[in-house]
Amino acid sequence: MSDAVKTVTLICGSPKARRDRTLSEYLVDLEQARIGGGPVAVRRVSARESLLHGDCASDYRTMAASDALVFTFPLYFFCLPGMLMRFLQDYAAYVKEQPRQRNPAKIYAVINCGFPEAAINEEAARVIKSFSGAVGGEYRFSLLIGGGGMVLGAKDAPFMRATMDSIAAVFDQICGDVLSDSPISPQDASIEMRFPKKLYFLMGNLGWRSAAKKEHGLRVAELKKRPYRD
Amino acid sequence: MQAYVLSDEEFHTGRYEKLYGTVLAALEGAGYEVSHAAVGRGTLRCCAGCFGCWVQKPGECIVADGIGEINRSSINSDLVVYLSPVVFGQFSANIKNVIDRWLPNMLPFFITRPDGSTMHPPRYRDYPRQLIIGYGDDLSEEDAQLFCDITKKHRGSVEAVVYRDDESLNETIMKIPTRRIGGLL
Repeated sequence: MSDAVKTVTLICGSPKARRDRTLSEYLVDLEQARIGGGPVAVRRVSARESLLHGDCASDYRTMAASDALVFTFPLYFFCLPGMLMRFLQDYAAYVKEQPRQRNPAKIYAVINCGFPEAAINEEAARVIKSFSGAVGGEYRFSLLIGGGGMVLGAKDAPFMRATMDSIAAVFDQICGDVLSDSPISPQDASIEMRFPKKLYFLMGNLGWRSAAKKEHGLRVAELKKRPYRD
Repeated sequence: MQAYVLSDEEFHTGRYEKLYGTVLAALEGAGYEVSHAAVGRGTLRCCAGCFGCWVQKPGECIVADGIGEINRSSINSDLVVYLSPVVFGQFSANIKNVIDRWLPNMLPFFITRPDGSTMHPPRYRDYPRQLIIGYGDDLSEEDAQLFCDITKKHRGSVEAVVYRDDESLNETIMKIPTRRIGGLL
């Protein structure tokens, strides 16, 4: 293991507005706590804020100067959200204009989806792998999380302890891999909630009805409107 | 029959022009009346995951920036064709914004499909056929395969191919049934 200080940039790729904290932001907090400190210096970037405030160049400089990048984002339609694609497309164009970096950055992804099956995230991890090649980086591995919709609400419940410990262990693994000189990449890790799927669906479906009624005064039947075609 | 073609004006390359010409000729030859919309950088905002299209104004995006017209045109067509640059094995950012903002066209609830996978139920009784055509110069086999896997592994009612030559693309378009599609998404 090298003694040299490494710099890691944690990129939050959630497109959500900041009304409530998102799962991706929470996961980046955890990453910062597990990866930062000691020989690793951590920086944070929000793709959304960067694009909204037109400050991409500064964040791209930070990323290009890092030893490792960790992308944390939700799955949208079985792959990366359009907003994150914009951020990555522009980053690839930025990198192309820069002098070649001395060492390729190690690249990781932490992907969460609202569906229970973690494997749904596999193609998004492959997209990050392809992106890594396009920017001269070295794809290492991803954490694929299924059932992400319940993490924020249930993370402190006793039944979630093992799941949250597993997530923390993967972040420790990322930290170890950043500091390692091993050329061998660990396998992608998958974590699903230890919770009955039927109950997860029931709670989710009730949640949509409740949000429509409480926040917007809609009846259940109104959720099924067909505005464009009968 | 109506066909609605969507493209990314940020990638209107020479290859795109050839692809578009081939698609237009094939669709018109098959009897479709074709309309076309190009989305560029800044045409549409990114989906912000607010779920307003499910719980505030069901079936419609609450952001008024032109996605309503795109979704109305899509839902009322018999065939929607997306001409998407392949970027990192995925859709380009502009085309992905269109796809992300298709969300109002399905219901919020969870269902289990016959293969055990999870999906949202359809909002409408039937939908246009959808064909996603990826294109790019010097595409790797891995990126081309990934581009198709993203759609074909998870969206049973949507077809995805990568443009290689006119003959195979014409064959793909001719095989698309002309009737709209019902059932699970």
